[in-house]
Amino acid sequence: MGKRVLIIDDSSTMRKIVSRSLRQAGLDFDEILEAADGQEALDLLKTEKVDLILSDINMPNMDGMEFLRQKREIDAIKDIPVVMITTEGGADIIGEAKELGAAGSVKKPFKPETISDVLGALI
Amino acid sequence: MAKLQKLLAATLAKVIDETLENMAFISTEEVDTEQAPLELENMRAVCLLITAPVVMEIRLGMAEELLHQIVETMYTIDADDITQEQIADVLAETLNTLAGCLMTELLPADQAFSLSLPEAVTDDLSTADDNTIFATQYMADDLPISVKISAAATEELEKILKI
Repeated sequence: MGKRVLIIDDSSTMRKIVSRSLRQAGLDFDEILEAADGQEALDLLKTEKVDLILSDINMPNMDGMEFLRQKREIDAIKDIPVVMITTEGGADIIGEAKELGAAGSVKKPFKPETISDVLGALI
Repeated sequence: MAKLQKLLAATLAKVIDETLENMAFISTEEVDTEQAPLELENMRAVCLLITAPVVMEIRLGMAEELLHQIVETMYTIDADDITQEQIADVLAETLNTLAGCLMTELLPADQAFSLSLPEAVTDDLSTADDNTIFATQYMADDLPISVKISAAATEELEKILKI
């Protein structure tokens, strides 16, 4: 099976922008899966295998931080790298995400090359 | 207040252009509304609270036609297939990104901030209230964009911004 990525964001617009950026950056994922919040992502990951997760932080229902908290308790998915996509790029928020296991972060708005730089090391 | 407004004008012009260019390859230009008031009918509006380090509200209005253009580009769909949810989502995400960029540009590098989720509003974008500290308009593809920023504690904001 080829590489698969999961994009978690409550905004369908942002999911489109991230998908477009991945393609423009030449990151060759065979399949891009989408979830609208952390809970939807956890439900999806019960049945779908992915190689990388890109997640927003500020989301209704289950935000990105809570998703990281719950994900690290689940053996089957705890090692999947997560890159946070954030509007609030403050050091404290990024630091908290890293403590919860995030592998990196990208701040909105981003250019395809930024995504490429951050994800390149993880895939 | 004049220094704050000058700073907001310069920063907002930069970040709105950067945000729309990155999202939808659209350039914006500021409009001198005293000389040429924009027609603010057929606009959709959304607001968002900056909840820390000071409480501020940002309202963004965009022409319905401009939002249709952005959705068409972004979702690569025909105009007839555009849904109201997509229009609302593009507007909300534009404000979310815009507010994040604005605060990042304005605040000192080590200063954290937080935002609420965007909410659709149906008020008159052309009127300012007592708490409005800055209001401006831009054009993108000959269609209007309106931004209004409100805050009660302007002295606290000026102190954080060191102006």
